[in-house]
Amino acid sequence: MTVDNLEKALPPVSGWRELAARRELLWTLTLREIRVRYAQAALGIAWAVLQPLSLMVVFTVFFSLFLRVPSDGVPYPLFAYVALLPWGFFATALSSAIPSLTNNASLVTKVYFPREVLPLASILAATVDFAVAAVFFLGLLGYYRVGPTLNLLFVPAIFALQFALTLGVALLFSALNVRYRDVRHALPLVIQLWMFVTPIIYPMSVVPERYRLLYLANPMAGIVDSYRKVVLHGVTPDWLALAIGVCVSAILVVFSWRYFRRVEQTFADII
Amino acid sequence: MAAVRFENVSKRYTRGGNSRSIREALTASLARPFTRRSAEAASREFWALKDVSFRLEPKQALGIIGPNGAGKTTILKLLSRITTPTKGVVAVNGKVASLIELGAGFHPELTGRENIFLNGSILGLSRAEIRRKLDSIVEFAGVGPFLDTPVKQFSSGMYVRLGFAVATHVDAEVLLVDEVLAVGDIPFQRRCLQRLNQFREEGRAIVFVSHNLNAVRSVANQAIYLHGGEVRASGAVEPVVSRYIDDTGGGPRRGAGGTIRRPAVPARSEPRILAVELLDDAGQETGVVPVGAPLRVRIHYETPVSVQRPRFGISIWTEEGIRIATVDTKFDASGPPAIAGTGWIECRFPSLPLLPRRYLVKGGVYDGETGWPYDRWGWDDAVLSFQIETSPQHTPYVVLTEEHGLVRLPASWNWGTGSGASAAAP
Repeated sequence: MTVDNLEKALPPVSGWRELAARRELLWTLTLREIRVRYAQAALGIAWAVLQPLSLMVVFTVFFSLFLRVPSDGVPYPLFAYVALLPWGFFATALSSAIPSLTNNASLVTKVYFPREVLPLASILAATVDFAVAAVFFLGLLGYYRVGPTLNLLFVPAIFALQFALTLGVALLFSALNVRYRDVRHALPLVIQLWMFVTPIIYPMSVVPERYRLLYLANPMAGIVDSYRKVVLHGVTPDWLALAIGVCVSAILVVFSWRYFRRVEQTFADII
Repeated sequence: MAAVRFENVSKRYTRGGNSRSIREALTASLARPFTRRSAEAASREFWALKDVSFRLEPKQALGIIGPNGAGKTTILKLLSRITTPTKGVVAVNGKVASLIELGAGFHPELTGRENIFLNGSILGLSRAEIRRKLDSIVEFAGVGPFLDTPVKQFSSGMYVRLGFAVATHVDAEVLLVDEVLAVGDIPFQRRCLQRLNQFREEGRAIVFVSHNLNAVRSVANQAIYLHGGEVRASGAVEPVVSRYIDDTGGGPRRGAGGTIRRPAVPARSEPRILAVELLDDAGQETGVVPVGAPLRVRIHYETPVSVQRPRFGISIWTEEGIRIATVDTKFDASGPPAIAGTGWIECRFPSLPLLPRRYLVKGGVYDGETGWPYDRWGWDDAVLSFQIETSPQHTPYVVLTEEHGLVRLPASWNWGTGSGASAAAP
């Protein structure tokens, strides 16, 4: 090895290859997150179902029975649950991924590894919750006798979009949270507000047509609406909604990752 | 091929850099076009390292010593890529393993086994490697029966042992060690040192940071002494360690002559030590003593009252606080039966069997019956010290160094031929 190579042996910024080489670390940290979250919790992983289920019940009683919120002709519990599933993933993932770097400050300041694995592990752990809650949803579909259609094949693609969006938001704000703890304080509020601008309680059809494009600038709107269309209505997704979601998420994830890579060298100094 | 290369490395930190809120940052960025980098910002900066250079080859161990805040840990952080240099080049050839924080990433709720996998992954081991090394890790840590117990129920010793065991099972070309030996009991510390030496013999390089100078001596074969981010001394371990001790001990410089004179104190009703001198047999003040040469310690005292059967004691210590010997007028059934006014008492060591190193001399005058210390020196005030040295004109023991221990024991040898090992000594 020449001296020049020696310098390259220590690149300041972790590359894709390094991230790929540390995939086992990602896997182990994901397992840790799941185990720790449900350690000493008597109900354990059942919490993954209880959360959307309890919201579904409350929403059904107050918004459907009392307020008569429309649900596009499907039973309101299904209507709510299919939206609460991706929303729960998004909210859980962000709540654990955004503070993940600062929560693991002792690791970040003591050991080197590609920093992306911390928010990524949080998102993957939330994916496990999502999967558990989704299995329960299959039972709910059976109960309401909603049959599968070929359009279910869109689900993995919609989930990929949802994952990318979550990753983009998590990378950007977890990095910002290292320097500005304001992010952590704003997080619960922002997640709550974000839920109201996403069609979870109400159908997207209640949003006036002239505000629709602006409304779809929130990629979660397109994602939730698409899940409803392909799973409950058995039709193709709203292409415009999905296209906007893809564009916004793609730009966000590229920008966020670049930003993350640029500032990750300073994490240990300022955390 | 150097394992580690540090070239003119400087590292700047900004104090309080983490307390900025977004509002402040936004205000600052709006104001930026109108302000130069302010004096206030510059005053918050400090250089943790200034122009530090060194090289480390495989099979070598570098000890880094210096007071707190000297920049020792910053070097380890740069080597492990946790942070990046502000100036200069840091080059590491091969994989780096850090024992910077034992049990980094241990989670209290997880079991010992789960934490081995977690910690191992963080340090860069694959799960397959960890599985292969699991038995060896568990054996070294001695936590076998508790492997499936959550580590929150571990004793702190078990916790540290497990952390050390995992960290030293990382296959790395360069091992970074930060003050890990400060924890754990003595047998464990000894095993740690053995393990580190084994690492080095396997062809790896070690960078070792410690306040325990004996640990540095036993692990490192070269050292740098940092102070305020700058290298004050570097090279072979012993001179660097001595320089550090000279700077911190507050005692006389090596070879400056061993005498302490004590400041006057308000009148008191007990004996007081005025001065202590280290003398050679010619009566000359000395701070450097050849191996096996005589040394005299002369204590000057004054007492306002007459004291019956006073007891004078002298002890010799290494700089790390190991008490090598104690001599005492009571043990030796000697000394004046009573003292009054001013006077002196001298202890002569006809042949000091100490090996090259710096030694501290402490002592005092005590009540002969109760041991009550009337006055002492060397415990919490000026240090009296001397250096044992070898050189051809002094002694025939030129090959003796600090590596051979603390003392040269008088010994005689017998020999014979054949297999009988039980031949009686003449």
